[in-house]
Amino acid sequence: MAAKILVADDDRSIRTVIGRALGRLGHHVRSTSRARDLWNWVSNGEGDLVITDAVMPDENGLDLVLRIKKVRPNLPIIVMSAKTTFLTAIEANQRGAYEYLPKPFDLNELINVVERAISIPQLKTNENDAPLVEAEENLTLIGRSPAMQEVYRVV
Amino acid sequence: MTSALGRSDQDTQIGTKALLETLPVAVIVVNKALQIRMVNAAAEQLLGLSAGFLMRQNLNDMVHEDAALISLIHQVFRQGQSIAEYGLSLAGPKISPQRIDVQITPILEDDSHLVISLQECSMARQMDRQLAQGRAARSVAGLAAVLAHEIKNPLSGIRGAAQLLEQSASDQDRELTQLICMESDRIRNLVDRMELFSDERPLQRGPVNIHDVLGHVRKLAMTGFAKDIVFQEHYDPSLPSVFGNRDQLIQVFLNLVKNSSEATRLSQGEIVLETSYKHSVLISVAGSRDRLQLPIVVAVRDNGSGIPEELTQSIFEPFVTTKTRGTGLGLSLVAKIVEDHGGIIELVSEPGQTVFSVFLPAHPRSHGEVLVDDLER
Repeated sequence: MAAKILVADDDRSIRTVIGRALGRLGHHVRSTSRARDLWNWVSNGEGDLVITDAVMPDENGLDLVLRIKKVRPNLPIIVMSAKTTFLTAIEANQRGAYEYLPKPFDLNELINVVERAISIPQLKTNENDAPLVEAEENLTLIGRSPAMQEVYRVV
Repeated sequence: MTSALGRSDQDTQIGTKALLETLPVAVIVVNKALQIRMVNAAAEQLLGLSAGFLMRQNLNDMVHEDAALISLIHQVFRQGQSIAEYGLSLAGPKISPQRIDVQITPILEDDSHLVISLQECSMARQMDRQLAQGRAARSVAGLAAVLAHEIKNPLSGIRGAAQLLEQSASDQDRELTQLICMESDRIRNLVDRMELFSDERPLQRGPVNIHDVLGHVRKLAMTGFAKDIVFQEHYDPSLPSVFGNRDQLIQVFLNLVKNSSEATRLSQGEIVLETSYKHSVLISVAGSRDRLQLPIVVAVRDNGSGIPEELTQSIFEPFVTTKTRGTGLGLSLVAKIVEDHGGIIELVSEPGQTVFSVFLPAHPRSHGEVLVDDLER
């Protein structure tokens, strides 16, 4: 199923990579470096899926997620971030993001997430359903480094 | 000497002088006018001046006017009671600045003289070193926050572009695109680790049962990286709660145990976790009148190959490692967290025995003592 995907990231190389990768799969990709453009497109009813950076020059991507969810609760949003903290992941999910991807992401993983997101006909209607919240407990600092995650997983 | 034994009295006096000379503690005797009346060899060494010179001097001219040492001496003359002070800074026209522990004691039968004993202040030195390590970690922290963002974004582009090329590459070229991905992941791992330092949220502290923490760490270690290591636990069951952050303390001891387990790889690994209570350790914080009590001592001891002496000074700095595959961030993270707790970490290492000792503050309520007393003497 070809979808219209809106991408917001202030890094051009990321926009290029995502545009090419999803374009090859037949999707139509529209991308911007500014949160403002994304907001305009979304509020005009454009797009089947949003992929946004958590940090953009003109607005915090996570605040934008909250605003988008208010006007279009069923629009799936994938949040990417170069800050690999559990808090960002948890926050993104609490605000209703469909998925969180730490940068640098694996392209195949991104594609999988995108395909999953657009194949769900009616995204979960309950926005407060935050799937990652349970990870918050006890994982504050220890889960942050990959080595520690490895350690944590063995328990 | 008030010994009733006439002849051995003589012997004792000779013995006393010889004894004084061999003492590792610097001893100086002054009179009320602060003229130096006696010094031993350790005092010559500590001050870097000869006894012949010192004996002609007045202590007032030797140290800077505002020196705390002088006012302490006057206080002892006035009150007739001995005073100890830790981490005092000593400097003068002919004395190079240094930190010392001082004990000033009146002489019972002679109230016109008193004894000053001086010792190089090892605790204060560690404190300074510790603070410097904290600063280094923090500068890395600031850098890491910027780096994390600035490196991971282009890395996403590089990695993604390589994966796009891979889709149409020949088998031979696919090896190269995979190489780009693998090397990108290596850089990401390094940046992830550095990012740990950019966490500058204020420390959330409360009472923490340190034995609980150590038990958790041991469990984590034994199910993971330290499967073949023999653990011993020597705990003081009466220990009060540490004033700290549980998660971060887990991180500290997990890193220390991980470090120890890697150091014991070649031998039959043994790690001893030990806790004890040290009542009297008062530490003056540089640049402040506060005296901090760090009574809880947690030691992680291993029987590994030890840390080369030339590295023991710098081992807590970022990127210093004895491991061929290490990133050298584990111990500097330990130093940062311990410093955030107001604690101290000390290292003693020789082949076959390495001990990291962490000194931590007790939780005020679990303790009944004032931990920070800022009363002026």
